Amino acid sequence: MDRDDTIVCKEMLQYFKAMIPVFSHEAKNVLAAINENAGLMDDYILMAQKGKMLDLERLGSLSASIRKQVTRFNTLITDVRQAAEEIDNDIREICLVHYTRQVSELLSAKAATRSIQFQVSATEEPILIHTRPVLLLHMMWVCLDYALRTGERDRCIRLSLEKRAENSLVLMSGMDTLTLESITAIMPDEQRNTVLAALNAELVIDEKEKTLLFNIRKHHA
Amino acid sequence: MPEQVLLLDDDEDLMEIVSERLKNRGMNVDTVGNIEKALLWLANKRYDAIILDFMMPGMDGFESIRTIRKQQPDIRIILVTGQMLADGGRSAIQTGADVVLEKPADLEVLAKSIRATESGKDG
Repeated sequence: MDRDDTIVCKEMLQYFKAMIPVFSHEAKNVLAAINENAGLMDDYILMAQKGKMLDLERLGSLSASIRKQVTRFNTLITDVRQAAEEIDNDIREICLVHYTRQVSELLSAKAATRSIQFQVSATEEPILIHTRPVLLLHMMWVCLDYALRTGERDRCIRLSLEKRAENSLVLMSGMDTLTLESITAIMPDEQRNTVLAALNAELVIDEKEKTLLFNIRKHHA
Repeated sequence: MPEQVLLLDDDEDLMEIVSERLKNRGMNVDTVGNIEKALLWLANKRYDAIILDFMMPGMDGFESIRTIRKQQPDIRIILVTGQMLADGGRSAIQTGADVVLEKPADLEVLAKSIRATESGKDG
């Protein structure tokens, strides 16, 4: 394994190190919701045993709430399992819109503590690209996580996606305090350059417009 | 006298259910969805306990604990968290929380933690 491969492997591990605690937090919230639904049903059973009429409509809303949590949990574990399976894959076709939403949704609770919202805008159609999926998730994660930790509270970070003939773009706007120097704080030069090379991509900062452009070029076999 | 509880969570469905279950146990419960609203309620009404998630819109857990403690020094602060706190919640206790419970929490333990306000014992 050469130095670049080692860096790529370490960076993929960094993604899981950052993502798993967030996934765990979300999963525990789902479990808490299911647990409280079950607990409330137990309360109703106890009340019914004491002669109180069961409110069937309320029971229906509880089962709907459980189903909603099951759907939420299923989405979470599907995304995590898919990322785990993709560690071994080199380049694969993925939907850039789905992956961008996945990262922004996982980071949304952390964003909310600083009253920051993510807004993903893209066309209705999937944007299919060939890329290294875990590295793509990692690069988007570190950029957005940095944007959350710095700059003003109470703002919106917009993620505009676009597919062109030879490349795909993720334009992140509302990226306060982003400078050419701060890009090194996001990820040291060697690691960043290696990951970007593996993704066949570049990061372009516009300090004046407070934007970060993630330009992913088409992989040619 | 029923315990006065302020329940703070951004998950409305979960908040509604926990509120109903605490009311079933004889408590008076008010619910709010963010820390700013919670601080307004705290400024206008005396509560025995506040239950909050560690990650809330508008403020992180430590900041929330400090702000609440400053506003109501005697309130019982019960933190219910989905985060695996590396130190088992000690830093939250040092910041001013009285009880730290990990999600999914047992409601009977939560109710006992609230009632400890009256007896002065830990939940």
